[in-house]
Amino acid sequence: MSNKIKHVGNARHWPGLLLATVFFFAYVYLPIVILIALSFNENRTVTVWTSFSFDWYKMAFQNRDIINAAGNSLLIATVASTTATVIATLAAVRMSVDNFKGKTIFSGLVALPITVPEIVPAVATLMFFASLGITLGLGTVIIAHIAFCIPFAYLPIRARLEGMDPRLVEAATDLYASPVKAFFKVTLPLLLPGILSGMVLAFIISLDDFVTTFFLGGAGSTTLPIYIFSLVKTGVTPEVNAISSLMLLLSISLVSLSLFLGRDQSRK
Amino acid sequence: MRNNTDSIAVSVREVSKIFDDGSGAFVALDNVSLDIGSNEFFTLLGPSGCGKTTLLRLIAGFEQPSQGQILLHGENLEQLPPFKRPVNTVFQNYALFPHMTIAQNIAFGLEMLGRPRQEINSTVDEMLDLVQMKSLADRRITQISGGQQQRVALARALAPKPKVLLLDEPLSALDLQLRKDMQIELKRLQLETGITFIFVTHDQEEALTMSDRIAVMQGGHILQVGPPRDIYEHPQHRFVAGFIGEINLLQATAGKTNPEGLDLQLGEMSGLKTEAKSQVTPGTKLALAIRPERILLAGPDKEQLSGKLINVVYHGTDTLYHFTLPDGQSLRARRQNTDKTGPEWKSGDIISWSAKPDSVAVLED
Repeated sequence: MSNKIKHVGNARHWPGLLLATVFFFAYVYLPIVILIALSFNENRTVTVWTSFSFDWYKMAFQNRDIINAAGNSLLIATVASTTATVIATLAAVRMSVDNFKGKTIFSGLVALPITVPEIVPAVATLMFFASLGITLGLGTVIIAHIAFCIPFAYLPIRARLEGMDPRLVEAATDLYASPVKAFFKVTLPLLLPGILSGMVLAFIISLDDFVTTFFLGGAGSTTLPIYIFSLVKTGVTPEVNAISSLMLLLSISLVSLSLFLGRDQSRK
Repeated sequence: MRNNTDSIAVSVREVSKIFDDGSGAFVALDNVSLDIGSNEFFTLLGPSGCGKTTLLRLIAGFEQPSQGQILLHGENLEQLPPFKRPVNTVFQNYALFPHMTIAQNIAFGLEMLGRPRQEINSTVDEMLDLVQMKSLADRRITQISGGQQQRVALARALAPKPKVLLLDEPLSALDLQLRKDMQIELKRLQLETGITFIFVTHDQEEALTMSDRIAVMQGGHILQVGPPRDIYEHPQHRFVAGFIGEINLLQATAGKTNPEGLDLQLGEMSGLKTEAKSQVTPGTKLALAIRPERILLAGPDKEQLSGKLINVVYHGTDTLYHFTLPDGQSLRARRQNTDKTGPEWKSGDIISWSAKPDSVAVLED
């Protein structure tokens, strides 16, 4: 009796929880695992396994369209994440030293784009460019990517700033560092893990983006997700599996890098 | 005149600081004036919120005074930002740069001043020696103990050889034994370097042991400035008397003034005298302060001054006796335990006591 009571509060003894957890992992990861497995399938028919091969990877790397799309993706992600990170860093540093009325609202506004359905800013930006008569292409995609990358870059930097002792900057100015020197000698080095983490996060978000790119892209701005989508329309081939697997690998590596950089080393 | 400004390191003139966060103004410093001499170990002592840290931050330049001015060796600091003031700070939490080694932390100020590399290296070595941290020069800040961080913070602030060193409760995070060691260490460093130290603390013992002079602060005011002995022996305010050391605060009535001093009445009881500073009208109500260790206990003989023993507390080096006086006021007396067995007085005994006239202070309120 007493044993039973003791265990009521322990989730380990609740019926069905284990099953639900196993189901959760299977539900999320099984399709991905199958996709990766099939990318090594020799058979052209996606659903029939014959034997192991790297053929589809070889084919993907020989496909000029894929190479171009990958090049576009990397170019857009690099430019967008770096630009967004610079803007986000400056904004975060400024927001951290200021105490003005409505600061909470502005802090919320910075993060808001993350929660807004992506289609909304995508359509809005499309209308904006259309009304200005700007031709859609790589340029418009990059501009739009910078916009949605900023909040993702901003948040880790802001978190890092919040954990930083404001006395450190005071100590630097006390030791004859001008505000500019104090920023480059103390604030920036301490912020660097947050900045890099934010940049990597922004890079992944840009790399994986479909909706914004689809709306604002034009001739010559096809990215990998757009290209994969166009392939799927004509029928899923193991080649699509191969490219998807590669993108997954890249994303996982970058997310791990971002988490690694963002971890707080200064806390004991 | 020139001589005069030379010997004064920091001159605080009618400085007020008002913080206004929009919802209401808070007066942190109210028209404070103060002169701190060169090579002085000067302590700002007071409870939290008394304005001592604000005054320090004004001298460092992290805050600007709302009114008044601060002079450093005769030069008005008003227009100088913190990075142009020849003043360095040891912060309460040390504020060491976590991304640098110990040596890099100490070198920081000199590098910002653009000193040649050779001079920086030799000064860093000298500072590491001074705080006995030479073997740890290349360690990271996160790899050393609190006491060691404290030493690095001191070395970092002393390395540029500032005219004034500001210390903001630097010992408060250390444990008791380390704190005592550091008190001696700080005093040694101040004597060796000859730099003016302005030390902020709420710990009266720290203030008494290290300072050349102490300013006792409360509610944005400086109540009393003087050497430790002066502050302890001649407190002028009730607050100062109570804040520093233990003290008996008694209500008395003034009697006649005669050559030996001013007669005092404690209720119906007479026999207590104080050194008369000026003529006091007989019958005036006075607030007295007497240190417990200045109460001389005579024993159970019936003399003029007496009290009923309430409680005896043995402290090892001394014993504390609690009395109730005939008029109901309470009195504490400390008696050195000069031999192994003390007097055999029990609660309820009537014990007579006395105090020398110069041990009895009259307080301004």
